[in-house]
Amino acid sequence: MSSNKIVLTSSDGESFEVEEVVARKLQIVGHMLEDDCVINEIPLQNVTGDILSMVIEYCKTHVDEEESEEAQTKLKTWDEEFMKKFDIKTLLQIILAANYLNVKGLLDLVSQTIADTIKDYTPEQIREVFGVENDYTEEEEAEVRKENAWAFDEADTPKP
Amino acid sequence: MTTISDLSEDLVGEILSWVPFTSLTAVRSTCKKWNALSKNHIFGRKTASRNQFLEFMVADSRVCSLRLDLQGIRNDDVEDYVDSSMKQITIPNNDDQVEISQVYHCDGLLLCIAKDNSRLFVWNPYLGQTKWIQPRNKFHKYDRFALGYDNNRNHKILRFLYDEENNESCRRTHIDVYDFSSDSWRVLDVNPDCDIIPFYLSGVSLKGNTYFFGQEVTQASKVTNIETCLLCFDFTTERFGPRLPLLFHPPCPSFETVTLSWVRDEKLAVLYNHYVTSEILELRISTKIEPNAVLWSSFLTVDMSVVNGLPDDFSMYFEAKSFFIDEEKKVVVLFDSKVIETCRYQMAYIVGDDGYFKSVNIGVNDQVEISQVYHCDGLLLCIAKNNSSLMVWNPYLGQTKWIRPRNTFHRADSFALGYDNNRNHKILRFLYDAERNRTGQGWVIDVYDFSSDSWRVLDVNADWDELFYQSGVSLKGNSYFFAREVTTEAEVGKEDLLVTEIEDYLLCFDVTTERFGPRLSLPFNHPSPIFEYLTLSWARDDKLAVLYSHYDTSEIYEIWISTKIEPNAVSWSTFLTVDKSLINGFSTFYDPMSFFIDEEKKVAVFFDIKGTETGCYQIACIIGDNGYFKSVNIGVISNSQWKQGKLVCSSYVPSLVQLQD
Repeated sequence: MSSNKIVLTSSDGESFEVEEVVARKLQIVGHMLEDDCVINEIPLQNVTGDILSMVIEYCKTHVDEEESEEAQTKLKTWDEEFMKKFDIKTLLQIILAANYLNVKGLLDLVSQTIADTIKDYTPEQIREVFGVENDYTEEEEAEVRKENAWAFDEADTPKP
Repeated sequence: MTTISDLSEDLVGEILSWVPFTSLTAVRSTCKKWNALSKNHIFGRKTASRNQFLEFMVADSRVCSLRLDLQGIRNDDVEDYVDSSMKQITIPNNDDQVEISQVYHCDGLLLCIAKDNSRLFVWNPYLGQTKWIQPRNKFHKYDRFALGYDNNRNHKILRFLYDEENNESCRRTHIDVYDFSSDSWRVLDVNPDCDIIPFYLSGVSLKGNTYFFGQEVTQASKVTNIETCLLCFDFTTERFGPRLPLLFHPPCPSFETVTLSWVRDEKLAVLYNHYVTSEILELRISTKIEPNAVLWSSFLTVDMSVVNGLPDDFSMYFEAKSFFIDEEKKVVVLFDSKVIETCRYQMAYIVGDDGYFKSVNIGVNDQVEISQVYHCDGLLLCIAKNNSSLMVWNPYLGQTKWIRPRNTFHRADSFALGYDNNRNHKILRFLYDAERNRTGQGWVIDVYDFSSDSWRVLDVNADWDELFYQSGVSLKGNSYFFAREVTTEAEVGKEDLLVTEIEDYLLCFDVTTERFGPRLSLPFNHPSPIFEYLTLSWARDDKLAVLYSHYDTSEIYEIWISTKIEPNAVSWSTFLTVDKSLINGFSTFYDPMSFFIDEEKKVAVFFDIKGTETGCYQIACIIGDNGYFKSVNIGVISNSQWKQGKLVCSSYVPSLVQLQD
């Protein structure tokens, strides 16, 4: 693999010089490189510099994904720690970026992290955290609860 | 600021696909948009939380969902914890909540068979949709079904029609198939190439097709070989596939148990147990499974004799047990119902290699089952069937109070509810003790005081010969019981004693003094000292009524009511004498456990059970003098335990007693 450097530029004009293998983790970049091999500076319109730096940090860490169990466990731990740094607002920005830049691993990781947050919340908490407006009447909401009773309600379940 | 509304629906759907199933209710209750979204994206698809199981089963004619979380077992250094719950489900578009007798699953859909054998419906729990389907004709209760789909994802239902005459030979089975696309039934002319004892009992559905067991029995004068194989009904070709091997090696051609299950929705699991080596369970899972090919790998072999904690009466025989396996934890979960004393528990036994064992009581209902009820002063004392708690309920005020006894009950424990002169309520508990009972000692009595909210052991005068604790009725705060003194004398040359006299009397437990009162006489003169039958009841809430029947004149019921009743004095007047032999239609098979009387109409009402083809009914028999008789059907009994209902009180009068925890 070549150690060719590529410069990624964010929407707010911040530039990051990264190795080509790292840049290729962003599939959007990968496709551009396939189309035209001589590009070495790529503007990324929909991502700000602070978010792009997070994505690059992720890609650098995941650049060589070894098969060994030890390496996998190490990466997993790193992912968990990495995710702990962000609040929900930042996570939503990262997921938008990961989706736009097409970084599958990061998209899954952030989706899972947000999902894990949802998992432990009541509907009221979900609405508050995600800024979702409750458009149910009380009766409608009760009906939805009843319809889904078969699937159990995590909030109802006592924890050990 | 970025909020979730900046995300495309696909992206939100992507996130939701990582949310576990158990948060479905919370997410759907958040807002309408998310509710709609969740119906286009499958939730929990990616969580792959492999040790979380959501299952459905039929219990008490209702569909129940069962959640069993095995993530907490077999982890190093951590005490085992199994999170489980089970609940009855309300199925949409099933207004009367029709009772269900069988449930089948395929592809996230549940096929539910109504207990009245006339209809079936398919339910998609995830989308909250149901579709009712009428069969060509009324089912037989032994009809069995299967749900599957063909290569075009067109779903179909198979119905195996039970045929009494054909059942013995069993070579041909009539099969109806229902097609969702054409919404119609047609008769299918296919049969598997196998001798089979009702093979269709064993079906499980995988990837749209259904797998059954087939069996080939080789016999001349005796059975020389039994070969059990797997058969697949292919829903695309609508044919049975070839015999697929199971590769078990029975030590001899005798009884064996084979049960099928799934490993998630990808693989089949098969459990094998042979009569001769009945302590060994062999489990295999498929490494490849198609209608005409199967490969197996061994998953687990368990020697049940080294498993500690399995109930002695656990057996794989006589009824098909269901099971499922957790590949990662390397355990099998066996379901069983367990009867302890009079209670039935739904149990999950988790069995692994190296003798790993854990038993989990997954319970039955949200409602605690009640085994006994007592009444006094408008309050009901309910004894929980699990024998560990009791509850006092004031129906009028809608208040309940849970009370823990000193220790777990015995199912033969008896209770009484009463109050003292200061209207302080008390509960009596008569502790059954087989040994004390055998040696003729009185029972230990615990008393619970509502005012002090505590139990204490009562040191009570026990000078009666034989007290019938279960006979108690409560009147004006005190409890009245039957007791009996038997006089015997030794007969020359015989070991047994000859009964020369039996004296029945009443004893009152005075809740104020906490003592039993003197013997209170009963108005009967028996013709000879042998078996007599006595039942106590009330006449409204101020008199006692007593029913008497003697073995020598068993067709006669004598009913007396009290004209005066106090802890230490009673007088009686005759109310009604019934000659049962003169009454047509009155079942005399049971002696009544309870009855009540209407003084004005001069009738007594008894309760009986009547079984017919369509169900089991509670019957009230109204009997008066001059041979008056009328029987009234007062309702269907769903649990056909053939028990007469027992009255708890006569003419309930509301109470304003406050019950606050």
